[in-house]
Amino acid sequence: MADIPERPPVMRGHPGTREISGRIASIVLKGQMPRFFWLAFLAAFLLVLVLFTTVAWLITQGVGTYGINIPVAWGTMLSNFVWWVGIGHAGTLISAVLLLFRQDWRASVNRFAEAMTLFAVAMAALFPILHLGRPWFFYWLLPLPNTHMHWPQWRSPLVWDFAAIATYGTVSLLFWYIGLVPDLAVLRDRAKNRAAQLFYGILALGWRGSAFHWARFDAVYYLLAVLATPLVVSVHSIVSLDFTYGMAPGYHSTIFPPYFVAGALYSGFAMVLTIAIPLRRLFRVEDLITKRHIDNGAKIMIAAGLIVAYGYAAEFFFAWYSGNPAERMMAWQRLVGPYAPFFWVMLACNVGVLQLLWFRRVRLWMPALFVISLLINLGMWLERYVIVVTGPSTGFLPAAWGTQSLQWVDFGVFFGTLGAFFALMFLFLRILPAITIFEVGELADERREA
Amino acid sequence: MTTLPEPSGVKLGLVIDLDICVGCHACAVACKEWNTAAYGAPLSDQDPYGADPSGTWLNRIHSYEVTPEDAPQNAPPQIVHFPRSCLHCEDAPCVTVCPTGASYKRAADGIVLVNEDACMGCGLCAWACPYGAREMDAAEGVMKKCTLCVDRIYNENLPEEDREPACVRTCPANARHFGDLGDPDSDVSRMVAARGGVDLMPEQGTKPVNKYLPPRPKTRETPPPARPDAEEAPGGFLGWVDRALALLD
Repeated sequence: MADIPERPPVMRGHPGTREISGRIASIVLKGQMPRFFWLAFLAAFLLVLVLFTTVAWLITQGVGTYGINIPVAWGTMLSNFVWWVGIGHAGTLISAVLLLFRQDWRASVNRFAEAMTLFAVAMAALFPILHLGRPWFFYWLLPLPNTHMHWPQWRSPLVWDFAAIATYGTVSLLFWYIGLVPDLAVLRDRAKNRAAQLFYGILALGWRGSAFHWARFDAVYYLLAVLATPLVVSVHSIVSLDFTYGMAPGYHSTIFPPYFVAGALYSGFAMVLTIAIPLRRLFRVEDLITKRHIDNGAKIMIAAGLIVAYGYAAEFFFAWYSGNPAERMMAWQRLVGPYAPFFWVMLACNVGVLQLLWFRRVRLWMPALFVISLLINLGMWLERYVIVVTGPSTGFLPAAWGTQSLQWVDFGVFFGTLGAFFALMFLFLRILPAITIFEVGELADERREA
Repeated sequence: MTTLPEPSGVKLGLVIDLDICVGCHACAVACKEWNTAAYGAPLSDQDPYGADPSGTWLNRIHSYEVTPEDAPQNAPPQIVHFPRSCLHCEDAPCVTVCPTGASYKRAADGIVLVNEDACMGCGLCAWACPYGAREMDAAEGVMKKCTLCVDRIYNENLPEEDREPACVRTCPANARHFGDLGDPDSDVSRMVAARGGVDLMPEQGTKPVNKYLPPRPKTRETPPPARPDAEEAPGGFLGWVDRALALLD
């Protein structure tokens, strides 16, 4: 096990701005990827092919090919959706909220966390489309004048979902891209070949780094941070309203918005650590993404995870306290019903494994933390699945009970989106700087001055 | 935008007598047959002759062995057959959650329908309906539901006596009744008043139009006495045959 320093620093050593920009830019410009990088990309790409195949099958054969069964109208498509949206939340928290709170430790991790947000939201956006009986009509959710005389009904939570995800995706993309502009200019200036100069030059939008540019940049960047901050809370709250509007036991509950937001941050930080731990090792940037970052991420997971655990307890308490037999039946079914194995594994991962993070040695031991992050990712997916299926499957009316069963399409779509997500992450690591050059440079300057 | 219409005086709906229903499924079959060729056509089936058949049924019957809470101790359970279909709720949550306005409630007679052309098949209405009355047609990718045979009840090409839902027309036990529950003097309203008809899960606040007539209490505390003549030897020609056959044993 690693030695435990008193409090790991935000940055190890005293590198200069030039050294930092050179190191980070060379990862992209020289293209010297770590061993197995392209092999891992190929594996992810194969999963993308699985996604295409499964989606083609799903669209041509219909939604009956995945295990939905009325009244369980939405199966894994909704649990995948909620899981992926949740993954994105950590990126927004790191990039926007921590920026406004002037937390300097965000500088090394915000760029790839924002990329993670963007790709996770892209994956999430697939599911509200794929779950439709007629997915080719998804554009009816857009407020577009059309000849069909359809207009989205704003009383419907599905329309709120669409608006929330579209807003989140747009703001995340703008925030990510605006933050990239100074770094793209660095890449443009450091690129040796003409194609790279042109590519990064066009993307850099003529950035020269003048005081005027920086003033404009700060105004826009902080404005976007202010716009993105409420989205950390609002997006998953709106997603949770899909459930609270459903008349099924366990759904019609006021606890859902905070419970979902905490769950989103929990799973999001688990994914940040899942990416950060191998990233810092493989690209040899342990001095920039230090154990301080990892430790802070783990501490946020403890806080979010405890709120989630409280949510589990509250669900059971209110099921009992309501005195409603249907609510009690739903809670009991979670413990012993057909989905009980999922529930117990979920509890073991999200509440049991979480307790290990109280120990500082565990938080600073990278292999253990990596495994814990993976388990929490699994647990959070199971949580969403358990919530989605147990309510409607044992609804208020026993005559309308039904169960959802996992089919190969469920697995194909989920693992396909995982492949697409990581394929996009690999491309991002290859093409764009995964660590913010200018912010880490500023941090280094501040440290040198101090 | 889909909103619920102002309630009109007319509330067409069904009254289902749980005391009489024998669970023969004739209503479900008649419903399937009519609607396969009518308003919601076709009602698809998946793997109909296979090991795990499934399909779209707008009316489903469930049978339960029930012992009433107030039944005497050791009272035998009674069988209750429970037909389940759309209840055409006054405050229909399936209508207000529909993102495209495909799900709607008619102002004139209160029937809840789905405009299948406008349905994306998002399933939100199935989620919102506490009665599980929505059916996803897996082949069409759209939601379907009981139409109260809207294409029969106003169909002037049909004889007058056939202008009622297929399930009502076919019920051999006369357990299903159709009429205007908004009119207190209609046959169905008087039947509901006389028999103490109930809403299904009124606590959900959906104000269903359809009503269920509860099973009459069964008094089976002591078995009915045997007929006084049951022990007597049969007489007449059949008695003679009976005695003759007994001699052959």
